[in-house]
Amino acid sequence: MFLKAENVTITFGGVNANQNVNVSFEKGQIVGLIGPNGAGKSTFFKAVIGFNRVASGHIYFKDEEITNQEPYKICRKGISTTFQKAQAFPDMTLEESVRVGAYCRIKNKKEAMAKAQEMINFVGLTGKEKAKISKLNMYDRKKAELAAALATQPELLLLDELFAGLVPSEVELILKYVKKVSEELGITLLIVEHVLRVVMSLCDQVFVLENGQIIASGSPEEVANNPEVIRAYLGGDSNVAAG
Amino acid sequence: MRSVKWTKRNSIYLAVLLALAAFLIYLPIGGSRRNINIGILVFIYIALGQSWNLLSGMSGLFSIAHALFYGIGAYGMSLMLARAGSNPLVGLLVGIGANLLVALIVGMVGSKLSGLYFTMALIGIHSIFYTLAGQLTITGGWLGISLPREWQLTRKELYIIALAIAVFMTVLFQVIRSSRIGTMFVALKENPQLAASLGSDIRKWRILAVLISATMASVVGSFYAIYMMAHNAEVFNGTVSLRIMMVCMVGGVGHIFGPWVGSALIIMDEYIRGAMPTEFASLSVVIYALVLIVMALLRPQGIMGSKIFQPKEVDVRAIENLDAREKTE
Repeated sequence: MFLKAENVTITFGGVNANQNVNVSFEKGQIVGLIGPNGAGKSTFFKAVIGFNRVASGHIYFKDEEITNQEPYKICRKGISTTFQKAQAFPDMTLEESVRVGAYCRIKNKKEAMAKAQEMINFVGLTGKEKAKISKLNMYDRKKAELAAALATQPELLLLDELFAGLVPSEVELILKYVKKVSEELGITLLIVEHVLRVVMSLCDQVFVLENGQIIASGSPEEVANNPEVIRAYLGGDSNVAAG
Repeated sequence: MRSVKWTKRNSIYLAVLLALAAFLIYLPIGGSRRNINIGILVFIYIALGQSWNLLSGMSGLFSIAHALFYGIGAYGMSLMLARAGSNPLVGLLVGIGANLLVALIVGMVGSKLSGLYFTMALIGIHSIFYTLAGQLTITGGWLGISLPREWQLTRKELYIIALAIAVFMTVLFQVIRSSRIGTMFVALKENPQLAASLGSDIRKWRILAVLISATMASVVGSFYAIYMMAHNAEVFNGTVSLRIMMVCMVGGVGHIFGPWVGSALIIMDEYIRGAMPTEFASLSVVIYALVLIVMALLRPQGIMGSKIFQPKEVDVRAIENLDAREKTE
């Protein structure tokens, strides 16, 4: 397995935010993690990248245990992420900000600059290299964060609600870049997303979390027609795929 | 060939640089002994300001007791010359060595703790050194320690060395800022969580920031010992730390020329004191404090933080028509 989470339990103040979560998938897939608000999606995400402490259970990446390792070590092993709330180095220029990611694997400044430029071009921000991140709009900030994550040269990219806060036309555009990441760079994607239309159209495999536990998994079609998922997600018998 | 556009800001920089160069050359030739001394003090605080700027302005680790590193550098030099009968190079290296050791402890504490706790840990370690320097026999207690006269330099020699140190520290600051190290320092200051998620070992970079900053302050402290030829534990005094911070805050935190502007203004209180009647001399501190309060209220970003001294920002809106085109396609 490319990523394997085995009985992962995460506890905050005695409350289980994740309980015995099992998630596994192969390289090259686009995997979705969905669930209602407060289901524990981001909690699980942050445990994979080392920001949340796993109370019990194990996480393996390419058969190597990464449970509770420091975030920078996990990144160097090939897992990168974008956050739910777009993160940035506000006083840095776009180029320097992306270069921070490039320095994960490249020590030479010129080579790091070249890698940063490549990723800036890849996400369509050419021409804005010298703009400060704080001056960019939300759509560009999301792309800047994506470029920085890609500059670390990951094998697995975790996207935590990348589409949140964007207008529908921007969602379509950024979706194009996400597909490009998978198709052109061959990076495996794990996506937490509220925009179900995106998850259903993009993912090969979907996991559904409710109250910190996995209640269903399978292809988007299987999950969309799972009565438990419909109940958990919509509280009724509506069709999830229509979301 | 790429043409360089001459801007209004470039003209201001050039005018200031020329005036500064003329003044700096005039001072040791035509200046009085008092003016040369004030010049040396300005350079000392510029160099210390660059050291603080690197740690707090660039890396975001707020050093409230920076005199710790400065004092250790001073004692490294004075103890080696006065007690071990060694030479200044050994004194300098011993000061740096001792500082690296202390900086490693501070850095390790700082990398585990953050914000207020790092500051508290620094104050704690600083208090230990301040007290020991004032109590131990080897340091001469509160009476202090005198250096052998054979190492005494002329005012002009001291002036040139101080200027060289100030310029060197400024260049070093800029070299670090534009390198990979500088980018990582700024990254850990601005968003440590994001930096860590992008593969940056925050702990390592924090320790490195303290090590470099302490080494810079140590060199200045060692120079100060030779300049004064005698000093006591007051090199660790909180006023020194306060002045270092103020030099950067008035000049502009994180700006390469911030300590130059800040130091020149802050040290003006030496002139104010000299111009005032003796019984009111202590009131200069009041004026100094008032200036700082006004600065904090009106220009918290410091003088060099003013818009005119900032690099021209890219007009993002002008580029956004590209996006508009992209969206319509």
